[in-house]
Amino acid sequence: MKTMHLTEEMLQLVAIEGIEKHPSAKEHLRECPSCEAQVKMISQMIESVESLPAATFQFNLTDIVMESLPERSTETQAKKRAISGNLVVILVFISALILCYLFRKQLLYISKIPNEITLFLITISGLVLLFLLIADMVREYDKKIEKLRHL
Amino acid sequence: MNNKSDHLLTDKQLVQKVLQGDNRAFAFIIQLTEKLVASIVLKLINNPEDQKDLAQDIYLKAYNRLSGFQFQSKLSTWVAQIAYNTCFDYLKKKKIPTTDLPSSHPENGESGAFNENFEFRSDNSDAEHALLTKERQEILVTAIDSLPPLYKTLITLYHQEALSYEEIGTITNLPSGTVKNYLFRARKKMKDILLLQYKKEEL
Ligand SMILES: [Zn+2]
Repeated sequence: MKTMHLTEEMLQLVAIEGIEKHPSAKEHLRECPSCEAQVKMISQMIESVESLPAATFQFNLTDIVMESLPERSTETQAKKRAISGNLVVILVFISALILCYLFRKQLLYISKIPNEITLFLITISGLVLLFLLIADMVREYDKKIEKLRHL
Repeated sequence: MNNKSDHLLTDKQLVQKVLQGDNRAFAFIIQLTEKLVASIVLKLINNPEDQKDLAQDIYLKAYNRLSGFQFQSKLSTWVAQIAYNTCFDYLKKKKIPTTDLPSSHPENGESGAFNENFEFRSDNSDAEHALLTKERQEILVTAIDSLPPLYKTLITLYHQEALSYEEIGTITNLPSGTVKNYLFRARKKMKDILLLQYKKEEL
């Protein structure tokens, strides 16, 4: 018999993975009842652990969790909000244009803009810029809210 | 959530459903992952009230963070990771150690002096054998319970839940090599406890 016993790791590996995967341990195990007994004990221990019934909660987890779920600002809700947001933007845009058209004479007079086309272009670009700014603010706000929810 | 097709839903589809506001899909996620989460919470936490609070907390976190889940692991692994981190933070707060590492020695000096005659008795009658098995099962459960929390969890995840070193590593934020190493130590400790018990029994 070789004087060195198998290491604890090797004993466990043989017990768990089988001797075929660890042929280097074969010779020693054949000649050493101590190591052989340990391998046997470990493999029986592992077998027993594997056959233990799984631990389960003593309460109804699904009920408890489902009752306490917060209101989710879901994607559908976000989509609905986006759609209504877009509608508002379009309505405001159109009414601004109509107002501009109705009061074009007064506006031309006040602003000293030479003609109606220039006034029209300036109004449109002004409105577009304004809406882009608002959209950006809303997006930042959403991001911050989302971050807060993850804290 | 009662038809068969739900079982065929992928992680991605389930998550999408929840994000679209379908809370039944989340209930289904709970049912899918409850056993794994229980094996973590019940091994790490002893107090039944805390087990309940933490389990609830784990799933609320999962619900709130679901939109950030990147599908880099299985959904169950991700939920298990939240479970582990939540329990681990709790233990840290309570200053309960999770391993035996600072005080013990990894060497296995006593294995050479192992009792050569040790063997499970197998020549009993059936009744005696059953009794013995039940007793041994109780001893085994006690032995597992007396391990440090992390070792208990690793033993359960590896030997009962049959997870890979990598999956366990993801859940516990440990490198696979460390998981493997801790598992060796956990089994060694468990074996020593069992041997001590059996010797006491035989006296
Ligand atoms: Zn030996």
